[in-house]
Amino acid sequence: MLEALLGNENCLSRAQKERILLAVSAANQSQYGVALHEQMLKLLGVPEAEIAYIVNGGLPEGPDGSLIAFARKVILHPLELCEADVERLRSVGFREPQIVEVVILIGACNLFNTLQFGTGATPDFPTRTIPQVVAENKVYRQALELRPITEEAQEDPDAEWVVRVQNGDLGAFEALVERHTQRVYRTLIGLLGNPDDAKDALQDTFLKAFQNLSGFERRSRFSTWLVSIASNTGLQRLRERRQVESLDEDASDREEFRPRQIRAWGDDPEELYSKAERRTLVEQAISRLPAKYRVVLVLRDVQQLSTDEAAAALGLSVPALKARVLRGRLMLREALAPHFMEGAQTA
Amino acid sequence: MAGMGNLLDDAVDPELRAHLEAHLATCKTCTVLYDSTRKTVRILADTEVFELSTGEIRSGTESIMARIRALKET
Repeated sequence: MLEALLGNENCLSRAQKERILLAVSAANQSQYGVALHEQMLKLLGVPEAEIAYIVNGGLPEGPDGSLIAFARKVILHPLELCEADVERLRSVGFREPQIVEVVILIGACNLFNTLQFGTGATPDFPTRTIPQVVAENKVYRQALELRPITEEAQEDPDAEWVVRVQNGDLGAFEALVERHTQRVYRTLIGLLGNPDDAKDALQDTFLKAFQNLSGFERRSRFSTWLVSIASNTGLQRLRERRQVESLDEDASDREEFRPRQIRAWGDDPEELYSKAERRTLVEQAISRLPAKYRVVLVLRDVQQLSTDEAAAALGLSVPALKARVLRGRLMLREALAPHFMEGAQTA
Repeated sequence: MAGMGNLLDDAVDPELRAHLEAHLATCKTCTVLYDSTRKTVRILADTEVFELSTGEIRSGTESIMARIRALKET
């Protein structure tokens, strides 16, 4: 369908089509659509300034301006559409097949934008802020009403702060950074295993969150969304370090772990050490675990995320997450056993 | 093992819980394993691992906001 719509230039040129798709996506408040069609227009040599102008509601000069005005009216004021709007297109030189193609493109873009909202797809490339649409926007409003909003998202303590940031309040974002730095840092330590890398990646995580906050659609809590950005940032760093240890689900998730240390622990093993000693012991033991087990333990047992939240943040199925949590706990137990089992020698 | 995972998270139905507890009552190895793993989880939750100080959080926040403000100005 895409090939048929976009592949030929018998009626409209590819650049004209992409401008229409960009304008419709912006009118539908589709972050994904805007990012995608912006990339296509850049590849076609359209200047950044023109792209920004269209996204912000401007009309390019010449006949293409009429195309975009028509497309916006179909999306934003469909009840006001009349024959005069079509006549306007004819008056600037568009033929009937081209006008039909415009209408088909608008309909297809509406469909894709709605699918994107429903699936929650997020772009893999840079996004830009889309200005709030003043007029009635049926696709976006319907998408907001129809998409599943998780139970946890309904009780998000950060919801008000997020709205303030989306309305331009930088101070609100600063408050969110301060509130969630510890959480993000621990997630990154879980992935990267060392404090310096984690602190570096911490900055990148919050920058990405700020740049993409206009696209945050509240299908989960803000903190869960932030942790997933941190996870992706950490994974990217691991790839850059050429650490090919994968976090994807694989057969090893289904293998049983065979513990070797089977001596009982005392009733209160933590009493054997001071707080600082215990912290050092536990941090060292966690740091030595493979990243795929380390990160799930940090999210579940240190940060106390629920199974669903942790699975969502890491892009794992719940069974896979549970399997890794159990294995990670058993591995950590094995590493700590010499220090906490009955009769352990405390240095 | 998977059963132990759910038991540790208190996420088993009463019938399975009874079955697992009956096994633990007769299997010393599993009891030791379950008990020490439960303590591992407790130690992990209670030990403030990988904690940043208030000063580190504040200076980190300032650094991040400085970068954001610089981005907005360009």
